[in-house]
Amino acid sequence: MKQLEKFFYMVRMVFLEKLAYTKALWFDIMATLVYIVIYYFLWQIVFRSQNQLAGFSMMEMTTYIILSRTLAAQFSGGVNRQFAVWIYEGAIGTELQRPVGIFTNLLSRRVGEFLFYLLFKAAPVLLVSFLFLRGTGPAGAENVILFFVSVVLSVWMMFYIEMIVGMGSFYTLTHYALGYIKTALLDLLSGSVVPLALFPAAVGTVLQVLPFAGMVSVPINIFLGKYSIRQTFFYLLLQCIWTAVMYLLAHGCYGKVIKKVVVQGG
Amino acid sequence: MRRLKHYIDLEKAYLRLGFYTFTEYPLDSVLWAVSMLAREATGFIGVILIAKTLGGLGGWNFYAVCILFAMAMIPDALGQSFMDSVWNIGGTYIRKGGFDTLMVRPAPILMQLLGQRFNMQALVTFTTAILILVYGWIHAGIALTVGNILFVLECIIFGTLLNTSVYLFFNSLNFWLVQGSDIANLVLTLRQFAKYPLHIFPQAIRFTMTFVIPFGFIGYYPAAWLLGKTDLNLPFILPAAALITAAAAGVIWRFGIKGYNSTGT
Repeated sequence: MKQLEKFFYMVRMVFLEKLAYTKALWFDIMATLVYIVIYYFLWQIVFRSQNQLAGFSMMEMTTYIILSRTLAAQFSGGVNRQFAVWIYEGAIGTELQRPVGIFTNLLSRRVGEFLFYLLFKAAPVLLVSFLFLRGTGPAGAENVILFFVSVVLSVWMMFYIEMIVGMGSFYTLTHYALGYIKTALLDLLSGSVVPLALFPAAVGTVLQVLPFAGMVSVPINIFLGKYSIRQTFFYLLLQCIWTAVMYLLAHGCYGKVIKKVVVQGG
Repeated sequence: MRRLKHYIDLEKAYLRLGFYTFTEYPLDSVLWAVSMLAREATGFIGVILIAKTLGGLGGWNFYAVCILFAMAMIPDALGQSFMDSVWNIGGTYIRKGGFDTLMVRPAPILMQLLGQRFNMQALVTFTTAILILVYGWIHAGIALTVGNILFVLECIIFGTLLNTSVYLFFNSLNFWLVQGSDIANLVLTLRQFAKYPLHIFPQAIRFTMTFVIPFGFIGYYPAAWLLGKTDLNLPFILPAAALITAAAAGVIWRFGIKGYNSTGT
């Protein structure tokens, strides 16, 4: 219980820290809106000549675009940058001495960042976009709840991916390249640029079961009621499994990498 | 004349240094190249998938879309290779006072600034863009005339000039605004519009991309001209647009440099 209290205290600290720098936020929100506008008009042409595409109506596609770009707005953030900065500036030494482990430490940052994102990025973007572009609402109340479950699971898994990317900084001069690669890959493989159904069948099927689908494609399909109950639980279970895999992978990598730090510091 | 020779030597020295940085850290260089390709690839694969499913995009077929995307990619790749320093104006040179160093040296400040950092990895993106262009060119059946080839060269030169001028213009806002870099980054996001057939967007966006932030001239209009989809006299309009943008960027840059008075540290 004490641990949890500490954890939430750290979450609150990160949240407040983020709150102090809200000026750049407007530009972040605008950038996300630009992407929504681009994809909205791209898909508009599609639906001028047909009513359905891969099982999506125009209204559903609009919802897909809005939600996918909003969820994808998280990809360029994450703790990999913070982790990398600690490594380059040598602060990692201090951070390692803290009474909480580096994973707990950074997870609290990630949770703080996620809460901030929900309140100050996702909420305004969703409000403005749905107001101007319309789009269908959720298929039902339970869809909204399961949508959130899926999103939270995906952020948890994203955290471990970010940790692995961050550890890459032990081997490189700057963290930008690795960060950009992460953003681009997540963008593409999660179905945030194009719904997975539009990929060539074989590729689409593989992407569907890879961990990345859980970040955009799965939650939105749940939101729109495109999955049966069976499918919904299958994909949620899959997300849990991938989260566990990434957890093991990240901790495994960390065990290897941290030895390097000790050697350098000795 | 001697002065010009001096500047050419200086530029050569900068390029040599840039090349050394590029080869000194192979892993980093490879990662940079991959990251640049990956970033372009997401947008490209997206639009390609849409164009493939529909057999086109707003009256432009798959190959036309390839040409458009390649044309938009080329100036950015060259800019990243040789003129990426403009993105450091706000941080390194204004807020950390880096201009102090450049100002006491006997060479134009802008030239020095551009010489500080090269990302030659972007030449990989450049090559990829050229390959995509050639692929689209062959399949779209564009004639291989001297005029067309000269036009592509014109696009490469003036497109890069225009593109970098826009970046210079908005990054120079840092001389007066704390949010300068954020504005420049938003402009960079707006550049995404240049990668799609502009006519599918509403009037307001088309107008902005033509007259306010003229990114339309680096992808859409040149591609439309090559494909015979426009009556505009692009071989004349493109250089004009590029020179006007460059002049605007030059003016704001000069004003900024004149008013610059260090960080006091």
